[in-house]
Amino acid sequence: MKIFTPIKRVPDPYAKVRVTEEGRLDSEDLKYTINPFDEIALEEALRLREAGEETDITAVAVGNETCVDQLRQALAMGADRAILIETEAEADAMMVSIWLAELCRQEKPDLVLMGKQSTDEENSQVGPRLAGLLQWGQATFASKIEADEGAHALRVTREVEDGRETLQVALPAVVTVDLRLNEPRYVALPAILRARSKPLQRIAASDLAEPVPGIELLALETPPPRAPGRMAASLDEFCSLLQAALNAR
Amino acid sequence: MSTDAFSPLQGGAFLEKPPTGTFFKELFTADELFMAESVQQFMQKEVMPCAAAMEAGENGQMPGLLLKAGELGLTGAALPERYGGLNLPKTTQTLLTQCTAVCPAFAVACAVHSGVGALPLLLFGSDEQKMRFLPELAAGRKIAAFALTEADSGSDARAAHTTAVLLDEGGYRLEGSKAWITNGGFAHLFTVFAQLNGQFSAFLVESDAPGFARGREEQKLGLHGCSTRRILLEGALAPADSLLGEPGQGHLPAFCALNPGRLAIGAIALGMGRRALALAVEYAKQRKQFGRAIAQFGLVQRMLAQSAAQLWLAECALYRAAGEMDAALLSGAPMHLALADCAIECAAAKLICTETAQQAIDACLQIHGGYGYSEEYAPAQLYRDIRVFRIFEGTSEVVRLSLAEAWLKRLREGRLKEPQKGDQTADRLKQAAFAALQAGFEGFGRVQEKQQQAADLSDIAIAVYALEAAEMRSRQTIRNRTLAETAFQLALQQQTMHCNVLLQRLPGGQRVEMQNDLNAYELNSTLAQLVLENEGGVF
Repeated sequence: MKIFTPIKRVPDPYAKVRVTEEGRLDSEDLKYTINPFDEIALEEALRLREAGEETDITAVAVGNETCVDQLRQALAMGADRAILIETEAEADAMMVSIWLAELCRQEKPDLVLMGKQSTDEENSQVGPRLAGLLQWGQATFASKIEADEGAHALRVTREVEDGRETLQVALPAVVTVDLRLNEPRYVALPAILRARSKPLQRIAASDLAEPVPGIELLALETPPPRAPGRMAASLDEFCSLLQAALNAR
Repeated sequence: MSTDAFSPLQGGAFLEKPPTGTFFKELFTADELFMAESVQQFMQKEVMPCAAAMEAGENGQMPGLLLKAGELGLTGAALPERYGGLNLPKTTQTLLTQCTAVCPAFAVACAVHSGVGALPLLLFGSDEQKMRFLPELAAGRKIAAFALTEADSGSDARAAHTTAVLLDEGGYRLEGSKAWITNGGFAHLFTVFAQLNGQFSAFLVESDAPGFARGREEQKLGLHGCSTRRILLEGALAPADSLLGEPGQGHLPAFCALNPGRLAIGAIALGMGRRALALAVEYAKQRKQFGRAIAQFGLVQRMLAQSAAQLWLAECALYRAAGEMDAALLSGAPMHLALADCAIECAAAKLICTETAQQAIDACLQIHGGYGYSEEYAPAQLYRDIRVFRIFEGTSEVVRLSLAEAWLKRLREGRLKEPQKGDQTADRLKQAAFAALQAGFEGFGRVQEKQQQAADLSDIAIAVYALEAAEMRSRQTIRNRTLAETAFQLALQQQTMHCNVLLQRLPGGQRVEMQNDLNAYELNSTLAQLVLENEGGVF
């Protein structure tokens, strides 16, 4: 099975982010990492391989040269090769989907396995849009993935409001993954050294397609600090405080 | 140690020449940082779940953890690829070792195994000895230990009483006992130092040798998770090929392996100190007294600021030393000479990291108040665990004297000269220390009778080494520039003041001028604010 795992370079979700005066993210002191949901997707691809399926895994990133760090990280985790779709543009979800779709048309993976969302913008858009552009089946928010033997399909369990839902999705397909699917491994040090010499291909985004941005980022603002809470001495006081707060609205 | 036959290297050059560059953490590549992250995850997922049980004295888990560290690649980090190692630079090794400090007992067990445990063999073993043992050590399948110290010979290691006798039928019989052997409870391979016909020599002794026995676990103040035992050699038989290096040359493996060992001990201490600062910051923010978080109080801020400045300084010195060791290793000199040449730098790094960590941990405990004294909170164990770092791999006193001794020797032999003139505080400190050295040690003679002066001069040399590294780093670093510069200014003030106290009492010593006139009180609170904002870390 040929698997694509798109990975996004995002600020470390545990880092404190600052906004510059121009309303942009202050990236100077920021640490970047693979979007944790994408890391889970890559881990799942590795597990499918370890379960016996013959698998070729390609990590794909969209962005500039800085993304090479995250692609090398994916190679160290176990991806066989990496592709960087090179662009300096502040790409929105639609643009990313169009580029990925074009790459999928050329490379014909059986499965695109990716995070349900990225931790920086939390749009949850690229997976579904990609499936739409390719007219492939999709299963989102996967919490369990099993290869359906011989059927050339996957059984995907999703956690929905009132329980679990199990889908069978024919390949090729796009599957987006949720947090509880697995816990990514830590990488052995020799694998990090070996990743230096694994193939990493660069493709100019403009050679794939020239999409027009649909969304423009106007400004970022830091939310105002929250006013400190108040401890109520009794349930009665709590209720009257609550009532006063509601009345004030 | 024998230093004949080598002069092309540049150990101690900083005492003569202005600095030309240093290694600092911001120079690590993305994949080196990723390795550090892997080690952190390994510590969290594999080691920390066992930490409490190990602290309670169940060190049966340590061999299994070291085997997992072997799968990770950590135990082979220093060894060449042909033995299954990764051959990482000392800088990267230092970073990885620092990451293990979250569990000091594991960190020490791992550092002893892959450092002083494996290095004598790597440096002086025959090809056969190396092929036989190193792949096993790199993989963590066999654990190594270093058996130098005896009950009666610690700092004076060459006075060891253990003897080895060459047997008519081939092989050696060893008689004696070794004390304070880290990993003693489970190690398979011991580098044992013994007198062979009165000549100090090194032997590779396996734990299944007839006549080999382990003593009981020592009841220690700290590092309870780490096995420390005596090794008893009661007519222990070692095969003919167990001699490591030449007869009478035992001091070479003993002292060459100590230098990288000191770097590793410095790295663990620094990691522990950094953890203490982070704990102190976290606690100071949430603990409220008199209606305010104690982080807002000036005296708490002063403790945080001083810990941060000194830790930052120690970190700069540590990575400078690691970088210089890498340079020495790349110089083309034989590996053991390259390592031996870094004696002054490694002494400086070990001393400043361990002393600073002890102070930072003491401040952390103090900030925790009564809770700091309770075993239910983290500072108490840190406080117990850090204490031995000023003792093993050379006590602080021996380290200071060895630094002064090496400096004097290199001056005497003409390998180092009078320091060049310069106008930085570090340059002036160097000149002042050199003047005192000339005045106090005629013909750059030996230190024995003047230990106090020698130790004071070492302290100045160490301050110079660290300040130069810090100055270079604060000029170049991009991340958290304000924090780096503020930490440098505070460290500069403190070190200048400390050195001036020493220079005032040293015969021939002269005070140097303070280079910045920043208000120390304001500097403390500015740095404390920055440290609090940064959660105590990331510089």
